[in-house]
Amino acid sequence: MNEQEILKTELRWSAIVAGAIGVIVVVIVISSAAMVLHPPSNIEPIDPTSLHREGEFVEANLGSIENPDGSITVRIVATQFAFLPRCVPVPVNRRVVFRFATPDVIHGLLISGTNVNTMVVPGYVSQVNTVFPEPGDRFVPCHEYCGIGHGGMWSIVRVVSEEEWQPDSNGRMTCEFPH
Amino acid sequence: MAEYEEPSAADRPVNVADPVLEADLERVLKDVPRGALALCGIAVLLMLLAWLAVYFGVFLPRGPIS
Repeated sequence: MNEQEILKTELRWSAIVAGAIGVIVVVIVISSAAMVLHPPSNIEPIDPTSLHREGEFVEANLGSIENPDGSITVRIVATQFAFLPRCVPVPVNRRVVFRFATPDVIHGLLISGTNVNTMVVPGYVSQVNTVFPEPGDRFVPCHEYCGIGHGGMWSIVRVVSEEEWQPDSNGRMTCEFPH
Repeated sequence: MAEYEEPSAADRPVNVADPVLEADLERVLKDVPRGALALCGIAVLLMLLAWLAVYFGVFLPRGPIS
């Protein structure tokens, strides 16, 4: 085998590897464009020292609320060592916008069984949009060590059917309902 | 330089030289890339299939995010 043949073999192999990478890239680009998938990106400052007193993250405004367009906004405060509220209901197959803020230290969370996974950094609002295709409870642990009580910091996202989604006159709903 | 009674092992060609004939070497090497390519090809194909299985079987069913 001379050098020309070796070079030819290497070029052929390079083409095969490039083809494999190309398949992956094409699949990602087409599915991302068709399903509007992209990494959550939201740079939105908020004053962590006053978010519990004023603005959208006051206690009365936390939890799930239905928007006029039918989508759901969920506001959660991550604080040492709990997510407030501890349980949020959302309807199945609707666009859900999660908005998180923290008044103390860096937290992180994921919603199990989904691709929702974000950090919650003091001074910024973290926002993730998603749709839940299946009803059921989703465990939401804090996954960024935030102090001695980190292990007990978790929440529940309760995905309910359209029949079970019965918000009050203000469009709000909590987990206190027959289930 | 000191003289030694025992000769060096390198004195005997069999200890330092490859006894394989060049022609034999050429004949064997001729088929080597095929096996290597088959092995690499199978490995890359399996990795590609595993990636596609995770993407379509796990990632996409978990719902879109943005």
